[in-house]
Amino acid sequence: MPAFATDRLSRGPAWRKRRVKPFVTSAASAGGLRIAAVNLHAAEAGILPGMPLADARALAPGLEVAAADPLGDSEQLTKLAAWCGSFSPWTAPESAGSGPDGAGIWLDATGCAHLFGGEEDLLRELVQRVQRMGFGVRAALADTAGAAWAVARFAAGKDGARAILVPPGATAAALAPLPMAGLRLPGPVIEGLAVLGLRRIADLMTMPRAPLVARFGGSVTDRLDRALGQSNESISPLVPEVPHRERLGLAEPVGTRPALEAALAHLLTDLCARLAREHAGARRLDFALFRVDGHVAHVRVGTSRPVREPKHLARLFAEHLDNVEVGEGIEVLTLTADSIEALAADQLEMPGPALDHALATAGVADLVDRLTNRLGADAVLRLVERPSHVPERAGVTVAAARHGEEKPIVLPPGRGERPLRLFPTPFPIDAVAPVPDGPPVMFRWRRVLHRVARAEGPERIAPEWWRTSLSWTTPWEETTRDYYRVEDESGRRFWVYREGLYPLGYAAAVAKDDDEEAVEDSEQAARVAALPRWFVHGLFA
Amino acid sequence: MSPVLQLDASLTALRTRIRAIEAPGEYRVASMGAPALDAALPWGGLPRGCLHEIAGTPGDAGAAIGFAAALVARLRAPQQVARLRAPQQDARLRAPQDGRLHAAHEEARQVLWCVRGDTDSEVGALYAPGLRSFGLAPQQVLLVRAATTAQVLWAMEEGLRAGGLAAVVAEVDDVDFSTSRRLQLAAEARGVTALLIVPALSAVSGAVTRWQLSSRGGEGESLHPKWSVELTRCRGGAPAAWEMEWNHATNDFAVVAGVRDRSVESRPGLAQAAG
Repeated sequence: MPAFATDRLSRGPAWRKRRVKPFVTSAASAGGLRIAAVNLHAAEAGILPGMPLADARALAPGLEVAAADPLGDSEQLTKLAAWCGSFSPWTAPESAGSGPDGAGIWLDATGCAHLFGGEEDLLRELVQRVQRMGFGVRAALADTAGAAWAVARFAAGKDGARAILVPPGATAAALAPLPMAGLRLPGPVIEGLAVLGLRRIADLMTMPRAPLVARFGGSVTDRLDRALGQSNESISPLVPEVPHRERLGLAEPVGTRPALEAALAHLLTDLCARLAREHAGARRLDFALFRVDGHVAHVRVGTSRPVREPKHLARLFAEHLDNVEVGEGIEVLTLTADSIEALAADQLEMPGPALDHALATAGVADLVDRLTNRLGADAVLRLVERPSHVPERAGVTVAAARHGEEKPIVLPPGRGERPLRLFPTPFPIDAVAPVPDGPPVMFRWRRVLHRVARAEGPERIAPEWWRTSLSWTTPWEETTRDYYRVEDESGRRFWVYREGLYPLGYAAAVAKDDDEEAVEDSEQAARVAALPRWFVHGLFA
Repeated sequence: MSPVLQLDASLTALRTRIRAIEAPGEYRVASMGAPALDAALPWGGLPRGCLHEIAGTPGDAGAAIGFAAALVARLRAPQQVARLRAPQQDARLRAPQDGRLHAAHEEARQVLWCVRGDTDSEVGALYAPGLRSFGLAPQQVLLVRAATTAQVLWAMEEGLRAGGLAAVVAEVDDVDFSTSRRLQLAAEARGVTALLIVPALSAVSGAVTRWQLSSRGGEGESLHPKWSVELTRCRGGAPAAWEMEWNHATNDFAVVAGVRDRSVESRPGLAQAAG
C-alpha cells in the first residue's frame, strides 16, 4: 500500500477532495513542519516525504495537509491485517512505514488458494476488497516473502495491473530487472552499490560474493538469498497457524439470522467432513464474521468431548448468533477448529438395547454441551462420591464438561443412611440433650422449636487426622462429631450432630450443682462456653 | 327438531368433547410398586413422558424432594409387566413385550436435576450419598445449578427435548400455566418424564398429575421416609390421598394406612369399577 497513511485519512465521502487533489501529512521536526506521507497526486507534483511543508506548498498551491498520526496508522494496519484473516489464517502487518514504501501486510497463502479458485483469483479478490475499503494497493504472490515484497513495490505489472503473480520457479527472472531497493537494504548500502554501478538486482546475481561481503557485510548476499529462496525467512504471524479452517466469501453482504445460519451450516459441513477424514473431533471452535466495514466478530464455543456432528455444533452456535453485531453486513465468514482431538469412527451398534444406550449417552453429552455453553461450566455439574467418612468430603460436585471417565471407588463400609440434602455449612442450633451422648430432646432451628419424636444414633465420625488443615494441637475430643438422625413430631427428618464431647465428669458436676445451688456464675459461664455445640447438617426425605 | 332436543344434542356433543379432553391419554407407565397406588392412576401406573407437579408444604421441603427422588427411582426401576387395570384401557397401553424391551435399559438412563444455585443454604445441596439410598448412582445424575428460575425452566425444557434421559427434575419457585403446558408438550415430544417441584400448587397447570406432599410422623422406631401424599389432580382420574412409606431396601412405595380414596366417596359408580 504505497500511500497507506494518506489513504487512511482520505476514506469516506467527506474527504473526497483529498483523493483528487495533492494531499500530504506533516509532522513536526527540527526546523519546522516536514512532509511525512504523500498521496499519488502529491507525488506526481514532485512532493517527497521529508520535504519541508513550505516547499511542498510552493510546488502544489492547493495542497491538502493533515497531521501525521503514526499510532493511528499502525492500529489501522493491524486491523487490516486481522481483516485479511479472511484470506489466510496467517497474516502479519509490516511496520507502518510512512516513507516511500508505504505500509504492507504479509499473507502466507500456502494452502489457501484453492478456497478462491486459484492464486490469481485470490490476489484479484484481495486487491479488489482492499481497494473498496479506500486503500491504494499493489499485491504480489511469489515463492518467497522477499520476492513478493520486491515485486509488489517495484515491478510494473502488465497493463498497470495491481496484482502480480510470480509463477513458481520464475522468482529470479522476476527479481532481475528490479531496482536494488527491492532487497530491503538500508539506504547507505543501496547508495554504495550504486556507486559501484550495481543498480539492478540482476547486477548482483552475477557478482562474485566474497568482495560484496567484504565491502558491505553479509546483509546484501543474505537478502538476495532470501529473496531467491536459497535461505529461509521467518515472519512472525499475527495469528498462529491454524490448520482446521473453512472459509466462505459471499457475493453480497448478509445480516439476517437465517443467512448466517445457512452460511454456518455450510462451513460446518465442510469442516466436519475434513475432521471425519482425519478421525478427529473439535473441542473448541471459532466462528469469525468479517464485516464490510473491516470489523471482525468472533463466536466461540467449546464441547465436553471431541465432536464432528454438524447439527450438534450448529445448535451450540445458535445460542450466540443473536448477539452478533452485523453492522452493514457480513461478507466473509470463517470457521476454525482451535483445538481438535482424536475421535475414532463411530462404531454403530446392532439395533437393540445397546444401540439405545449408546444413543442415549451421546444425547446426554450433547445436552451437557448445550447447557454448559449457555449457563457456564460451573452451572452444569456431575455428582461425585469420594471414599471419605467426613460428610462434606464424601459427596462433591465437579463440572460436567471436565468430568472424565468414572473411576470405581470403594465406599467406606458401615456407613449409615445419608440425607438427600446437605447444607454447605452446617447451621448451629440450640439443642437440649441428655449428657453425655444422647440425641437431642428438642432443638430450635430457624426460630422453630422441634420436639424430637424418635432418633437414631450416634454415628461417630472423627476428623481425618492425615488432613493437614487440622491443627495437631486440637484435641480430637473437640472436633469429633456424633451424628443423629432425628424425626420431629410433625415427621420432618433432620441430620444433626454434636461437635465435641462433654468433658469427663460433666454429668456428675451438673448433678452436684443442682444439689448445692450455690454456684458461682462465672464458673457456670466458663463451663457452658466449653460445652460441645449442636448443628443441623442435612435434611432427610 | 325441538329447541329442547337441539339443546340436548349440543350438550351431548359438548360432553363428548369434554370427555375426550379429559381422557387420560396414551402413555407408557412405570409401576409405583404398590397396587393401591397403581390402581388409583387411570394408566395403571405412573405415566412416562408427561409432566408431574409435586408441591411441598412450607418449612418442609424435604418431603417433596424425597418423593421426587422416589418417583425417579420408580421410573428407572426395571418394569416386569405393564399392569392392566380395566379392560377398557387395554388399548391405551402398548403391548407388554414392548414395555419389557424398553425396560431393559431404563435403569442405565440418566437423570437431569435442575435447581437454582442460590437455594443451597435454604434447602441444602443435592447430596450424592443420600441419592444412593434412592437407588440413584451419583454418576447417573446431571445437576444444573442455574442463576435464575427462567434458566432452570429453560434447562428443564432443553433436557426434555434432548431425549434419552430417564427423567428431568426441576425445583422452581413458581410456574405459570403456559410454561407448564410447554413443559408438558416437551415431555410428550420425546417421552421423557418431567417432575416439577414447586412450593405450592398454583390454581391451574398443564401437568398431567399434581401431588401435595407433607412429612408424616410414624409409629414405632422406624425412620423410613413417611409421607402424606395427596393426588390433587389427575387427568382422567379421581383425586385420592394416602399415607405412604418409602422402602429404601426394595425401592418401592408401601401404602401404610388410612387410604382415603376420594373417588370412592364422591363417585360410587367409579368406585365399583375400581374394585
